[in-house]
Formats: sequence, structure tokens, C-alpha cells
Amino acid sequence: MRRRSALLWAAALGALLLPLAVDSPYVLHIAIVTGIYIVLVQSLNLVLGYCGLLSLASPAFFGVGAYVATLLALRQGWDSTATLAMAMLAGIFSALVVGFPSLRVSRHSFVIVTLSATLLLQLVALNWEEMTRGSLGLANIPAPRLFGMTVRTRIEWYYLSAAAAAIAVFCTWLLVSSRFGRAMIATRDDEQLALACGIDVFRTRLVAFCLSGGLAAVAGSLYAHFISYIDPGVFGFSVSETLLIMVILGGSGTLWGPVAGAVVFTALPEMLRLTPEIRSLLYGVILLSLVLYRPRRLFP
Amino acid sequence: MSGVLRVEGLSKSYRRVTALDSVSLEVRQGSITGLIGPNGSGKSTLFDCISGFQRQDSCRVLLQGEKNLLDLSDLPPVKVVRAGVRRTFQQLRVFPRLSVLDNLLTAAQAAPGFSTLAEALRWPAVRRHESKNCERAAQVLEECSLSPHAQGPASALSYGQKKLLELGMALMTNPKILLLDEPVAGVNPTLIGNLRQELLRMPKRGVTLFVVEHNLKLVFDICDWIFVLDRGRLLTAGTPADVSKDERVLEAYLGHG
Amino acid sequence: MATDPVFLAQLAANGFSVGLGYALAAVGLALIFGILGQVNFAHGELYMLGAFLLFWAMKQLGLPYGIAAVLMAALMAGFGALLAHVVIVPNLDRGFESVVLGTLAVGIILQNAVRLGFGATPLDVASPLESQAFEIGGVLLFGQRMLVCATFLAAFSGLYAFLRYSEIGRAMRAMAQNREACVMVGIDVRRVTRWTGALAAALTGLAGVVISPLFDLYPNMGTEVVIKSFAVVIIGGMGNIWGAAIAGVALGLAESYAGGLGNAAIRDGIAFIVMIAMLLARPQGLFGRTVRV
Ligand SMILES: Nc1ncnc2c1ncn2[C@@H]1O[C@H](COP(=O)(O)OP(=O)(O)O)[C@@H](O)[C@H]1O
Ligand SMILES: [Mg+2]
Repeated sequence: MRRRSALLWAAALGALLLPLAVDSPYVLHIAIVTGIYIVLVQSLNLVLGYCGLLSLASPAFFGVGAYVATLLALRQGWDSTATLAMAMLAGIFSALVVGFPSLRVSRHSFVIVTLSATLLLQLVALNWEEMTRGSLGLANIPAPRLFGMTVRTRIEWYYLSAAAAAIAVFCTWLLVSSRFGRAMIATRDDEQLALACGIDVFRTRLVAFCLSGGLAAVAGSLYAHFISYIDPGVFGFSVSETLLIMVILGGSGTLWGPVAGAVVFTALPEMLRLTPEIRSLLYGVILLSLVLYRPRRLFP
Repeated sequence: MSGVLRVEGLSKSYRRVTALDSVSLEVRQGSITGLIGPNGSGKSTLFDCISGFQRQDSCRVLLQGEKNLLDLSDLPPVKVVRAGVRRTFQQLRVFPRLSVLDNLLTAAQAAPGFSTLAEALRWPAVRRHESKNCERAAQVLEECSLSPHAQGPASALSYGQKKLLELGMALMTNPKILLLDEPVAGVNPTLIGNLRQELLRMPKRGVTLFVVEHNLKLVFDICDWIFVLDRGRLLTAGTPADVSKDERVLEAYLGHG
Repeated sequence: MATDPVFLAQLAANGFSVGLGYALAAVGLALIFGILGQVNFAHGELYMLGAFLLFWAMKQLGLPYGIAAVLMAALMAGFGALLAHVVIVPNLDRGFESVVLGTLAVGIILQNAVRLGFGATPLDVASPLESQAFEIGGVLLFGQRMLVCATFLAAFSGLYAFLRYSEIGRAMRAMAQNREACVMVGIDVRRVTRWTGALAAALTGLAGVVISPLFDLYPNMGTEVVIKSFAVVIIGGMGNIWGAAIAGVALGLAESYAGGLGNAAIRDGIAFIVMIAMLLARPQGLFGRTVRV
């Protein structure tokens, strides 16, 4: 326990000082993306790790967040604080729409509906050209201005992304270590017994799913502002596979495991200079091997 | 003594099997009431229907509340628990990966319903409630002699200890009535003695017991009143003395049990 | 224009033929669900693979369309058996999530392998029926669409006969009812599982080879197919083959009218909206969830 917290403090200090130690824009870029991934990974961890629900909708809420923030910034010229908040609300709302019917029915249907929601939203982003410019995508997304400060340089971005990651982990901790967290774990471990204990299983799952949607949408809006260009690829299903690997291999249902997963699996492909196809192929193989050789690892 | 739980004309069939055929019964306040019958006679199904885990075909389940009668007939399990009816399962069930203490705290989460925000930020009301639950849990741990294991995972307990924990979980919220499905099945004789003491103490705490049990010696020993089910129908009911003398009961157990 | 009866009839004809295509594309998913109780998330990629194999056989081997189509559908059967053997057989007794993740992984692998092999630029396969069309009372019927309808009829009657009269088909129906009982009466569950995978993949590949000449080929073409198939299977009742046929036609008609009289966004959303509505109103689907013959 002591060793672990020492490790955590060292990691936190390292993260804080990273921009002073390295000034390679490339490394900082990867670090910023890692921060965004940490937010996203905690969103999936809440649902998959703590509620035991296999959701394939993370990219959907990520994409909703990205598009909502972008459109409000580009079309309405809204301030980033407002676009971020709206993106989060949009994420929560879409999670409500997807979760309300699908969490009521069988676990099969839940997986199917979450995947279909992702694919459908991608289709809508592709075909609703007046709004999204279809596959051309939306460019020139402005740098975010938060509380009157504009985030422009990579170093500023780095601290923004690190702060977002830290807040996401902290919120996750608040949630999972609370009374509500106990209810989530109870519904995951034994649904029937949770019901007999008087836990409203449906409500618990729906709330967790909505919070997870909000978190993913925040990650999406940060991503959009950072890359400053989005296209329907943000709903890309490949995000889901990367996330699943980060969470499952890192240790789903633990607070720090998925964070480690996010760091390793963002940095590794970059270091190995893999093309996206090879990387996805490799992730597919890893996922398949996990299923075949380490099935107990899949679910906490 | 007045009735605390009344079941009127409960029928339930699974596709072609009729598990229960218009069963009516009443459990009296503060009693230890037994429910016996051969395997497959519908005892667990009766508990499932009362506690909202199964939707019955036709029936009324009434609970005597503080002032008026509550109709539990079509309520989901959560609402039934909040009304004060707790149950255990025939198959032993605890949360294996939560600690023993957390198992007890989880069992006390029925009411009141706080908002998730309040729970995550640990608002004073939530904290007060949690510390009250912790006190209660410490008390229960003491009674079940599980205190030394409080921080360990429930999976580390022995079978008998898990049975005790299960009972303790059901007691966390002071239910009006407790439906116990085979509380001593598979437990060794010494522990049965302990559990028996626990069970006998319930009515004094204001908890009415409704017990399904195959250990007839125990049932005849602790119960005030016994219902006998056979193939989904109520065969007879009476005091332990009456029931143990009833030939139809013996026949049901031996004949096609 | 909108109320022109010829136009409405044209929409009906389009919707009907598209819908039979949906049914054909979805029936493999329904089979795997109905018989094995598993969801195949590589379903869309099986369709995609069928189409790319067709392209390859025609371009590289120079085979004519008809022969290439039949050969590749047969090849897909082998692939389906392999998939079932590797991913489904070892996971039959584990939680359904294992198969979900396993098939998901296979889908990702297939998609990226095809992207590496063929590139991401859309490709086109030519079928001799593509340019054919004939007219009945002002309503245009297109050759390739008619081939889809004919294939649907052939495939569904073949499937019916197979499930009804073959020994393995009977075993499949038994497994749909109760797998434990099958084990007890000595049915080789693994063999039936492989056969189910083969049959499902062959049907899905067949859908790929007859439908894909109507569209471009690209590595993630399966996504659209998979949403439609999920919708069809949920609406028709998970695992219900005739339900899938009816739901497919209904969805095709609804989309055709929505596209013709409304707009494209509504058309794309219909499948999802009806699926959600169905889950809320009747989770077991319109026709229940058992494999019936
Ligand atoms: N989920 C179920 N589906 C179908 N039949 C069931 C189910 N649960 C119980 N049954 C049937 O209902 C009858 C009563 O079962 P049960 O209530 O478990 O009996 P008991 O608890 O008295 O042994 C039995 O015939 C059993 O086979
Ligand atoms: Mg029983």
C-alpha cells in the first residue's frame, strides 16, 4: 500500500514536470492525447469495470461531445467553458436515450444497442451534410478559452489535458468509493442479491451509464479543440477496441489500472511507429488472445 | 396477534408447470411461521412471488403497514424491500468480492434514496446515515461473531459463516418480515444451534419470520405455526403438534416427495 | 408527385427488394443467435469478406461473376466453421461477453487485414445483371435486385429444408431448444456449433456477393449491414428466422417510403428507432425468440 502511493506520487510529480524535462513537441503531443484517453478510459471503466456492462457506446458519446462542442464554437461562437458544459450535457442526454431502453432488457440487447448507437451516429454525421459537412469534416476549431484564458501552446495544452485527466480520475474515485460505488459493484457481482438488498439496479446502472456518457463527451470536446479538425471518424469504432484493451488489460474495476493501460497503449504504438491499420490489427489479435487464453481477465 | 402478511389466491405457472395453485395464507405479527413441503412443491416460488422476483399470475399480497394495509402485488423487488419485506435465497448468496463489512453496508442501502451527487460528495445527511449503518453493522458483526473477519472479503468465510452473514445482511434494516429460504441447509449441527438462537431472538426485535426449511426437527421446534405445501396447493396448516400428527403431511413427504 | 401511384409502386418495389436483401443479410445473425444463443459481432465483416472475396476471384482469378459468387459463398462456409471452432466452441459455457469480445476482435482483424490487402479506396465489382432492367406498368425492376430476391427465395427454402429434413438441421433445432438436453442425448454440440457457423457465414457471404455489386466495396462496409441486421433480428425476434424475413421486408419498405417521401436522415434513423421502440414495447421481438421451422 505504501509502495503504491509512493509510486503514484512519483508519477504525479513526473507528469507535472514533464514539459520542463522534454521539449519535444511530438512527446508532448502524445502526452496530451494520453490525458484525453485517460478521461475516456475512466468513462468506460465506470460502466464496464464497476457495473460489469459491456458498452460499445463510448465512441458514440465521445463523438457527440466532439461535434456538439465544435458546432457551438464554430456556428455560434460560444465560449469554450459553455461548449464544454453543453458537450457534457449532450453526452449525458444521449446516454439517457440509449441506456433507458437498453438497460431494461437483456444484456445481449444492451451490447447490440450500444454498438448500433455508435454506428448510427457515425452514419448521421456522414449523411447530415448541411450540419456536419459529411466526410469533409469540420476544420479550424478555435483554441479553447477557459475562464478567460486561451489555451494555445502545447505546454498549456499539456496542463489542460493533465488537469482533465486528474479531475476525471478524482471524480471516478469519489463515485466508486461512495455508497453509490458500492451499489454499482453489488449490481455487477450479483444482480439478484442487489435487488433483494433493495438496490434499484436499473437506476444505478442508468446513472452510471449517463455519467460515463458525460465523461466521454468531455473527452470528445477536448479532442476536437486540440486537433482542431473533426470528421465522422471520431465515432470510429476502432476507438472502442483501443479502449477495451486499455481498460481490460490495465485492470477493469480498478481506479489506476485503466490509467496505466491508457498511458501504455497510447505511447506504445507511437514508439513502435505502427501505422493505424497494423495497430488495429495488433489490438484485434491481443483482444482475441485475451478471450481465448485469459477469459477470467475480461471481467472483474 | 394480528396478521402482518396476507396472501390471497396466489397462482403461478411456468409455461406448462403449475407451481402454485391459488394459495392463501396469513402470517401473524411477531410469529415464527414455517412453510414446509416436499421438493418442488412451490415454496421458493411463493417467496419469489411475494418479494417481487416473479410476476404472479393472479393474487393479492398485503402487508400490514404502520397504519394501513399495503398492496405488494405488482411492486418491483426494490419497493417490496422498502416496504419492509426482506428475503434470502435458497442458494447461498453474498457479495464474494466485497468485504464482510461492505456486504452489511450494501444490505442497508434500500432507503432512504439519496441522489448520486449527494452520495459522491458525501453530504452530511449521507455521512450521518452511513455512520449509523456502520454502528448497526458493528452490532450485527458482534452478534454473528464475524467481527474478526470484518475487513476480509466475504469469499474467505466458511459456509456456515456465510450463512450467518446472509442472515446479518437481512437484519441490517430491521425488516417487518423476513422470508428465509432454507436458512440451515448444509450447516453443521453446532452452527445450527447458533442459528437457532439467532432465529428465536427475532420476534423480540419485532421481526416476524417466515421460514422455509427442510430440517423438520428445527421447524417443529421453533415455529408457532406451520403451513404445508404440496404440489402447489396448501395441504394443511396448524401448530407444530397438529401438523406433526397429520397423516397427509407424512404421506406427501413419503408418497411422491 | 408524391401521390403518383406509379411512384408509390416504384417505392414499394424498391423497398421490397431492398428488404429481402436485409433479410438475407440478417439471417446468419439470427441463426447464430437462435441456435447458439450468441451474438456474432463479426457479422458485418463476414458480409464484407464475401464481397471482397468475390472481387478478388473476379479480378485476380478472372472467374465470371456467377461462378465466383458460388465459389466464394462456399469458401465463406469454411471460414464460418473456422470462426465457430476458434471463437464460439471454447466459449459456449462462459458468459456471452466472451463471444462478443472474441467476434468483435475477429471483425477488427478482418477489417484491417482487408484494408492492408486492398487499400481503403472504394472498389467496384461488375455483375452482368447490373445494367439490366425491365419495366412492368411503369415500375422499373432492376436485374441485380431481382437476383437478390431470387437468392433470398432459394436461400430461405434451402435453409428451411436443411433445418427440417437433415440430421444436422434437426440437431440444430434441438440445440436451439435446450443445449443441456442435447449433451445428455449424445448430440455432438461442438459439431453442431461448427455447422451453424458454416451455415451462417455462407448465408452472410451469399448476401455479400449478391448485394455488393449494387454498391461500392470498402473495408468498413460491414457497419451499415450490421446495424440493419441487428435491427431486423431484434424486430423479428432474436433467432427467429421467419421473423427476420418479415422484419427485413418491413424495414426495407419503411426506409424506401421514408427516403422517397421524407429525407435521408430519417431513412438512416428508422432502423435504430424501430429497434429501440421494439425493445421497449416487446423485448422478445414481434414473433418471439425461438428457432421455428
Ligand atoms: N424458473 C422456473 N422455470 C420453470 N419452472 C420452475 C422455475 N422455478 C421453479 N419451477 C418449477 O416450479 C415448481 C416449484 O419449484 P420451487 O418453488 O423451487 O419448489 P421448492 O422450493 O418447494 O422446492 C417445480 O416444479 C419447479 O420445477
Ligand atoms: Mg426451494
